[in-house]
Amino acid sequence: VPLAIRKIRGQKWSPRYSWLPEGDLEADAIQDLKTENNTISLFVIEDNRSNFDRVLAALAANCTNIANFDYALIDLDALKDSGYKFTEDPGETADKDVNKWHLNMIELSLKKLTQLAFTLVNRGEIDRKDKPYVKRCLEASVRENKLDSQLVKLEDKDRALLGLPPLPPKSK
Amino acid sequence: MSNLAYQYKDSYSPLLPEPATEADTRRASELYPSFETADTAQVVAGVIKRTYAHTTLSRMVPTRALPFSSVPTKPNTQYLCWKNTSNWNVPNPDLIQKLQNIFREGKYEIFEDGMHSTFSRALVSLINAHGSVAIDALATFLIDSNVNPEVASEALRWLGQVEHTESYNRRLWLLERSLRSPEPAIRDGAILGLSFLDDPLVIPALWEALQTEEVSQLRKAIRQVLEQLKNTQQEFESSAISDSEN
Repeated sequence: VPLAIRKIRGQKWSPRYSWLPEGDLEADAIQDLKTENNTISLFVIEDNRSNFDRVLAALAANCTNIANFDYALIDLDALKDSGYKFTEDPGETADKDVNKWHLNMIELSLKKLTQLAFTLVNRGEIDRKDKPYVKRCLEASVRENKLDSQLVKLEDKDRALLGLPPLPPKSK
Repeated sequence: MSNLAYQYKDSYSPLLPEPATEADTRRASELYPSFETADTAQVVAGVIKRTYAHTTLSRMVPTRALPFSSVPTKPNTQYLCWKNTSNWNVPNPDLIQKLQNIFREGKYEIFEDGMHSTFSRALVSLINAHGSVAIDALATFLIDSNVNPEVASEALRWLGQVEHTESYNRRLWLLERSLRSPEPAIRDGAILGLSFLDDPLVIPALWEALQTEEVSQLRKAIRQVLEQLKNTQQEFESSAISDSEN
């Protein structure tokens, strides 16, 4: 069963406050499910997770700095069964193959968005990959020429770590 | 507990770790009296011993008398910046004001891991411009004021990312100190900041934090960083052996 991945800020998704009723989520978690035109961006991960590191590298390459990567991973079929609708729109990363694994979850109401948050927590996997892991994924994608260096948004310090040329001044 | 131990506690400055345990307080009381005029060195020696309790450095630091000139150092490594417990960088009101403004604006941002924000750029710029003095002001600000935990957490992450050698030890201390914050968001920021420093010397502080951490997700995060630092330490050791063989 394929999975869907969403980059989050993991600390908001665990019960860290004593005032939070059991089974509830802090409201700030919804910040990680920012919608645009009632749509949320997701990437598809193969059921054997063979493309996980590559998707992670592509998403990390969209950042300004190499850092930890917190994510929520969930069974895509479970989402479809729950009535969520998807369209296969190309993603916007530096890896053109990863862009093909992009989905938009569409026609989201506030109720559906809230339900999605709870589905991610109750049926999904929320975890963190540390910075060295993220760096290794990026290195692998660079080594295998999977990333278009012009589209990698990392700042020069981290580009240098990966052996990428500095960004031209107008792109910074 | 002797009066001197209380004196140590009373003279606590935000730039020195407060005694975390009864044992630490006793250690401070042992250190303080022997050099009345060089109390700084005594207290600092205690700090070094506690911070680096499981490292070779700790064994090199005597429990008692220790003038600054005898603090063992390694090339390219600064162990301490504090020169006097009563003469630390008094928070600069201008810097405090700047930090207040930066933090106030930061409340309205949504932070994302690995992404610079207006807040992070302003903070990093302040550290690059003012070095340790900025960290002193930040320490005062984070510890003393009713700071927004999410913004503080973001600040701590960037303390681990910023490349500024002169302020390294102060940043290290502030991150370690923040592991004991009552706010889980701040502790998470400190854990991540320490992971970004990737310095095996913080292993003892993380072990200590692991013993008291109540949030399971944060315990998991600490274990993950400990694993990372263990690997880093092994790489250092392998590299040192390789260098010595060559």
